[in-house]
Amino acid sequence: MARRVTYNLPLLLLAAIALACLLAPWLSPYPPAAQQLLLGAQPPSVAHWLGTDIFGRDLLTRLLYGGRLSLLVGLTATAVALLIGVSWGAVAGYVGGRLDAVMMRIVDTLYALPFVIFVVLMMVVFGRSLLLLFIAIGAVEWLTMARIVRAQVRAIVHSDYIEAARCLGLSRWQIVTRHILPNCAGPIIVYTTLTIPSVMLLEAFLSFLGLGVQPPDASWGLLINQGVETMEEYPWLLLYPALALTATLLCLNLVGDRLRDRLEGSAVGGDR
Amino acid sequence: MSLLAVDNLTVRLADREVVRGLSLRVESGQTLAIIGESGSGKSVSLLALLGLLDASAAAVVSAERADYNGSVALLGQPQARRRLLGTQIGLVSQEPMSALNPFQTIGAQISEHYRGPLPARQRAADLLEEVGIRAASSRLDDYPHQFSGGMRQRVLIAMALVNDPQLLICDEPTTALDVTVQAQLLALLKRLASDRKLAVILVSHDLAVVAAAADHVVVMRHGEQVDGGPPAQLFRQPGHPYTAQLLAALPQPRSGHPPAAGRALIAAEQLQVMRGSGRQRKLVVDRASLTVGRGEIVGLVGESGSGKSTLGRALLGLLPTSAGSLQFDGQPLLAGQLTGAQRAALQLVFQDPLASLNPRQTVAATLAEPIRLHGGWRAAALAAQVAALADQVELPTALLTRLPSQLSGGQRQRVAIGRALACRPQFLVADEAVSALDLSIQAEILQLLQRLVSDHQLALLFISHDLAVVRSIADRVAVMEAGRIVEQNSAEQLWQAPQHPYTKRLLAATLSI
Amino acid sequence: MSWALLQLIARRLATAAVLLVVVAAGTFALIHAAPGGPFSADRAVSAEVETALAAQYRLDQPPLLQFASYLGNALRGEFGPSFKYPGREVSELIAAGLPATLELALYALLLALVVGISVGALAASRPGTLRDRLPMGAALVGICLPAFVLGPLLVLVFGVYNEWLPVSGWGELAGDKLLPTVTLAAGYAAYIARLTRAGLREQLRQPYIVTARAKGLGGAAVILKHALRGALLPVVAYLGPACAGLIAGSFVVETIFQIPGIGRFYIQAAFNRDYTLILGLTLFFATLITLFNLLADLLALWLDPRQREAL
Repeated sequence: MARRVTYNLPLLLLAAIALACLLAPWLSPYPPAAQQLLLGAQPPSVAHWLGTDIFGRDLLTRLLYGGRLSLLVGLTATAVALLIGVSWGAVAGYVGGRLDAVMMRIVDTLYALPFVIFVVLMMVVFGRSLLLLFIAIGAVEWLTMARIVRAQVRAIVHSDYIEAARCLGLSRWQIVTRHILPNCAGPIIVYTTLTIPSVMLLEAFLSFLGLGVQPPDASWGLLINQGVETMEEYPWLLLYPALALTATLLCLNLVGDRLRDRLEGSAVGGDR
Repeated sequence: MSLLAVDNLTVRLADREVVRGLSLRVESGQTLAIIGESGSGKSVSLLALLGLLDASAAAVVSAERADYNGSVALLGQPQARRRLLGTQIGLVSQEPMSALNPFQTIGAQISEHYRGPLPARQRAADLLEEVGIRAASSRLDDYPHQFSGGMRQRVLIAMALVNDPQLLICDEPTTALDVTVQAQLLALLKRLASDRKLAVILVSHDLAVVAAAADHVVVMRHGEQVDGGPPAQLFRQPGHPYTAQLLAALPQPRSGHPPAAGRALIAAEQLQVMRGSGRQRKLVVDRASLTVGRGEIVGLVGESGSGKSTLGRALLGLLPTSAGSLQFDGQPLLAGQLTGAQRAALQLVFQDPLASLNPRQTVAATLAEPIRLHGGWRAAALAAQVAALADQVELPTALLTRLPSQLSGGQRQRVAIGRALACRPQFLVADEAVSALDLSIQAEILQLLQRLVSDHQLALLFISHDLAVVRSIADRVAVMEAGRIVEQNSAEQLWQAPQHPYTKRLLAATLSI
Repeated sequence: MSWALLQLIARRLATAAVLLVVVAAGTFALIHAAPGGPFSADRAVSAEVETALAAQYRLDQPPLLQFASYLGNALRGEFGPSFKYPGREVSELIAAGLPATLELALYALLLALVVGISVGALAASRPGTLRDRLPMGAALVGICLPAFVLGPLLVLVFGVYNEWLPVSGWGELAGDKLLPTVTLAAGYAAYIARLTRAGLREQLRQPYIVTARAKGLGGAAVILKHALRGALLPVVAYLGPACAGLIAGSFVVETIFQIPGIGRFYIQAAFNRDYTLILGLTLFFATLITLFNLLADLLALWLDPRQREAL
C-alpha cells in the first residue's frame, strides 16, 4: 500500500496542484491583482503563507492564479499539437508512398527552423496576445507528435494483422478505427503527457523574457521574471514560483516516463 | 580426459529453475549436440556456463562440477573463465542478422581479439578464406549488412576461430537459412572440426541437422536432460518416450494416392507481379502458371526471395498483377475489384501467428470480427458461432477471453486459422504457417489443416521452405526459383524423379534422419 | 569522400538555400505588415536613419524589388542600418556580439556532451543500482530546471550569498564564464545523459553484444568499443534541435548574466521594435541552425555505415 502511494506520488501531487489552481478563487481570500502598496513585500507569515510581492499582493494567490494560466496554456497548446500532429502523422503513415515522403519532408524542414525565434518575432509584430501564444506554441510542438504517430502507423500498416484484416475484407475506415488507432493510443498518450511540460516550459520561457503573458495577469514564468528582479532582497518571490514550476514539470515528466515504461514493458512481455 | 565436463548444472532465472541437473561431456574432435524445443533450456545452460547471460537476468548458476580442460572451474573462477572466452572457447551465436556489430567492418571485428603473431588483416583474410568466403582480402572493409545471411554466419565462425580455440559452441547456427546454405555450413563445420581437432557443441531444435552433424546427442525438455546417446542409436531406439514423440512428430512422406484433381478452383496463367516503387520496382513473380482444385493441397517450395509469398498474395487478390490471367471459380479475379463474396472466399494464414493477430483484441473479438462482417449475425448467435469456430480449430473455450500475448505459439496459430475459417473460405493460402512452431506443435497444425481441407473441400496452397513438411502434406508440389516456377509435379513423382537441376539441388541439400 | 556523399551535401545545401530564402521572405513579409515598421509611412525614426533606410530598402520601389535588393544585400552580409541605434549597421552589431555568444554556446555544448555522455554511459553500465538511479534522477530534475530558474538560483548562491564567482559580464573578470556556461549547459547535459543511457540500454540488448562478450571483452570494453557508437546516434540526431535550443537559451542566459552577445541584442531588439536588427538576426540564426543540422547529418553518416549505404 505504502509502495503504491509512493509510486503514484507524482500523479497525486499533480492532481493536487491542478485542483488548487482550478479552485483558486474559492481557496484564496485575497484578490490576485489588487495592489496594497502600503503592505509591500512581506516574508511568509500566517496571513500570507508564501509572503507578498512588492505590490503587497499575496504570493500564494498569485501562484495559484498564475498556475491556472500556465496549465491552461499547457493543455490548450498541447491539444493543438495533438490535433495537428496526430492527423498529419496518421495520414502520412497510412497513405504512405509519395504523399508520405512529401509530408515528412515538410516536417523535417520545419524541424530545422528556429521556431522559438519566430515565436518571438510574431509576438513583436502582432503584439502579445494570449491566443497567439497558444497557436504559436501548438504550431511548434506538433512536429514531434507527427513523427511519432507516423512511425507508429507505418509500423502497424505493414504488420501482418493489418494484412489479415484487409484479407478479411474490412474497409479502410474499419481498419483505421478498429486496428490502427487502438494500437497507436499508447505512444500518443505517453507523448501527450510529455508534451504538456515542454509546452509549459516554452510559455514560461516567453513570459520570462516578457514576451508571453502580460501583467497584471500572472503565469509562473512571469512570476519568476518578477522574482529575479528583486531576488537579492526578497528571495521568496523567486523561490516559490520556481519551485511550483519545477515541481509540476517534474511530476508531469515522471508520470510520462512511467507510462512509457509500462507501455514498453507490456510490449516486451507480449513478445515472450 | 574430457575437454569440458559438467555435472548437475542448475540455472535459476528470476526465481524460476530453467535448467535442472544437466551433465555434459565434450571430447576433442567430437561434436556434441543438444536438442530440444523452445524453452527447453538448451541455449540458456551454455550461456550460463560461459557467464554470457545478461546481468539484468539475475541468473543463479550452480553445478557440482563445471571444468574446462580439467583445470579451470568455469563457475568458480570468473576471471579465468573470461580469459578462456575468445581464446580457448569460441561462440557462434544465433541470429546471423544481428549477431555482428553493424557499425564495424568485419575485418576489424574478426581480428579484434587476435593474440597471435600475424598482422591482424592477414589473419582475418586467412580465416575468411578458410570459412569459404571468396576474394576474402577485398571484403575485410565491408560491413555486415553487405553480406547475405549465410555469409554472415561464416563471418561469425571465422570470428570464433581467430585465436584457434579448442571448443566451438554453435547456437542454432543454421536456423533461418535456406536448405542449400544450411548444407554448406554443416559441411564447413564438419571440415573444421576434423581439420582443427575441434570439440564442437551444437545447439539445435532440428533433428535432421543433429543427425547429420553430431557424434553424441543430448535431448532436453523443460530444463532437464531426458535422453542421450549417439544419434544412430538414439533415433533408432529412443530411450525416453519424449524422444520417441519427437521422432513421431517428424513430417513423414505422405502415403496413398493423391485424389483425382477436380476442376481448378483457382487458376493462374502466365502471372506476372511487380513489387516496390520507382527505381526499386522489380519483377518478383515471372510468368507463373498454377492451379489448385477443391480438396487439393498444393505445396509451393523455394528459397527466401524466390517470390513464393508474393505469388501466394497475388492469388488471393491482395496484390495487383501486371500481366497474365487469374481466375477464381471460373470468374476473373482482379485485385482491388473483388466482390464481398470473393474476398471472403480467399483467405491467408501467416508464418508468425503473434504478428498476425491484433495485440489488443481478445481471441473472441478476433474470431467475431469476420463473422459479423460477412454473416451479419446477432449477438446471441455470434457467441455460439465463435464457440463453434473455436471447437473446429480445437481451441479450448476458456482461451476465448485471452489476448494473443497470453497464448502459446500453437494456440495463436489455431486462432489465426479460425479467423480465416470464419469467412467460410474456399481457397486458403498458408504462408510458412508452421515454420515458426516447435516440431510437436507443427505436426498438430499440419493435421488440423489436412482435416479442414477434407471436411470443407478447401483448396490449400501450402507455401514453405521446408521440403520435408511439404512432402508430408501436399498432393502436388511447385518449385519456385527467382520468380519462376521451374517444376511442377505430384509430390511422389517430384521426390522420386526430379527433372529440373534446381529441384535436384534442393532435394540433395535436404537432410533427413 | 565519395561521390554520393558530395551529392548529398550539395543537395542539402541547395535545400538549405531555398529554405533560407523562404525564411527571409516570411520574415520580410511579417515586418512589412507590422505597424510602425520600416516599411510603413508612420515610422518614427531620426532623419539620419530615414535617409539610410530609403537608400538601403529602396522604399520608392514595389515590395518584390525591395525584397530582391534586401536579399542581395543580405548575401553580401549587409543587413542595412539599425532601426534604433543611429549610425550603426546591423552587421556591425552582429559582429560585435557574435564572439561572446558563439563562445558561450560552444562551451555549453561541449560541457553538455562530455557530462551527458559520460554520466549516461556510467548509469547504463549498472542499471537499477544507485549509480544509475542517482544521476538519472538528477538528470530528470535537470530537465525540469530551465535556465531562467537555474541561472538566478546559481547567482543567488554563488554570487550574492557567497560572493565566490562574478555574476555578470563575459571575459572581464576571472571565472565569469563559469556560471553562464553551467546554466546554459545543465538542461542539455541532462537530456543527453538520458538519451545516452536509453541508447546504450537498447544497444546492450542486441545480440551482437553477446558476440562481443564471447570474445572475452570486459564490460567497459564492450560499452566503449561496441555499444557506444550505436547509442550515440540519437544524441547526434538531437544536436540539430539542441543548437536551436542553445540559441534560444542564450537569450535568457545573456540577459541574466548581462553578457553583450547577440542573444541579448535579439531580446532588446524585440522590445525596441528594432525591425532591421530582428530581420538580420533571424536570418543569421536560421543560417547557423541550418548549417548545424547539416553537420549533424554528416556526423550521423560517419557513425552509421548502414545510412551511408542508403545514400
